[in-house]
Amino acid sequence: MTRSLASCSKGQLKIQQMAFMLVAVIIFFSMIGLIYFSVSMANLQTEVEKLRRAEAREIVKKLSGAPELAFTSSTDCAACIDFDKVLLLNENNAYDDFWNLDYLMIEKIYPDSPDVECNRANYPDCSKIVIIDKTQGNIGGTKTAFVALARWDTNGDPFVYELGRIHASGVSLND
Amino acid sequence: MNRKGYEFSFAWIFAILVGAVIIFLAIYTTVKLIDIKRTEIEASSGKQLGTLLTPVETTLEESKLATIFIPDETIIYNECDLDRGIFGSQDISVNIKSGIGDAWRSEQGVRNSFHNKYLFSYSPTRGGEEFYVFSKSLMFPFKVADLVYMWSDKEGYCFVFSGNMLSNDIEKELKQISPTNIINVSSLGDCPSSSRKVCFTNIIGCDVVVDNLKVSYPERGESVFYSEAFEDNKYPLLFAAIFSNKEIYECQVQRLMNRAVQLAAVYEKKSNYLTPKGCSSAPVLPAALISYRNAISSYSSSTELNIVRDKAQTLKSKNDPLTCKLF
Repeated sequence: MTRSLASCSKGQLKIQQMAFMLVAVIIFFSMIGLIYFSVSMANLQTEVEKLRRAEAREIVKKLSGAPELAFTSSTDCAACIDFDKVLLLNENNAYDDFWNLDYLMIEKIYPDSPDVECNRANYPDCSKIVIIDKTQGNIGGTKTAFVALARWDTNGDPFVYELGRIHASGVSLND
Repeated sequence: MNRKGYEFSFAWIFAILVGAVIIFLAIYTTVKLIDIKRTEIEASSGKQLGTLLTPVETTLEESKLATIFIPDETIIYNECDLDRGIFGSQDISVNIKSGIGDAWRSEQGVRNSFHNKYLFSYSPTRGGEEFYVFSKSLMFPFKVADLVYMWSDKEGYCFVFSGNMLSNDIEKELKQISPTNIINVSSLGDCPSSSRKVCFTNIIGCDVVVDNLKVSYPERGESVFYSEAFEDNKYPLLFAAIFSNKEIYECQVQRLMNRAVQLAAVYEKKSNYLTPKGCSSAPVLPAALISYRNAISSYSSSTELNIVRDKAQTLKSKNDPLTCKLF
């Protein structure tokens, strides 16, 4: 009977050892799984940001051809942006989600103008028009491209051509 | 008696059972992870495809052609949704063939939405290695948008030209563009069996029949209407009807009209703003713009395209003689 009792205890001990070993293996593989998922999610976030930046870059290159911005009043400058249209487009909220951008601004860089945002009162003695701003002050990195700006002029030649720059940034992941 | 045998103890049974459960969980997790990874890759590819369509849009050109190379066999789903915002949305999703597990996922890939794109294709489009796209700008009478047409190396087109004026014009345009996997023939029998056959007279066996301002899809018994645009680029809507189906065509044209309404509003504002500054287009042009905008606002199907075109023609005739043109 003593021998039987001893062999039962030995068996139970073996089972306990086996159980602890299996629990340890499961915990070990779970931790590996957690590390894999956190690295994978971080990569996914980077990938999404990369895709959105690429989209913003391509949009910036093609914005001067967009019907809302393109200068079509004269054939003198087929790739110009119509600054008059941009001023008026700014008043139309319908375009806030049109280009999948968080921020879109067109800036006049030459000739020099006061560094203020344009409105009907100070136009054209101003330097920038912000068409879309959903960044809540946190603009971050933007894609830029140089463009030619054209606008109607009340003095002398009918149209004035200036140098400008487009600033755009893609939709942020924090939205 | 000397009995010798192997004791299959409870510990062994326990270990085998738990081991089996662990192996099952590992295989299940791996299969799920592969599925998640495939979803991720398809979503990313759909987004990249949408971004790749941006450089195809025209700036100074009348039309532009491009080839999109893909590493694996792919199906592209093209959907149009009018309910998302004023401009509606262009939804693109992708399924990629896999060598592990099922070749194709049962669900469509994640939809990527774009509000400023207008893609016409016979959806779904299946490609082996290449997708071909070309774009044309729609002048109605000002530029409204760039229309992008897509087909693939596995699903080509065969244009059967009949010698009438319209088919001669289209033949000339296609020769200028020289698109890949599009064949121009004079008889239906010369078309490859796998291609989509476009005819300019009503012949049995054609997949798309182009008649005077009407495009029919005999296999489904459906038809849509198109209208000639302006400038030298007259047929973007005809190409749109040829390269898509009724559902996509009607939805995308409605989206185009919605955009034209907003553009007309911008031009109206521009006219009112510039007139006091000496760039006078009032009162003639604003009135024509309002009439154009009202016609487009009530647009509901391609049967009304000719009415809209008449308003666009009136608008153009008022704008063209001005020294200070609006567009």
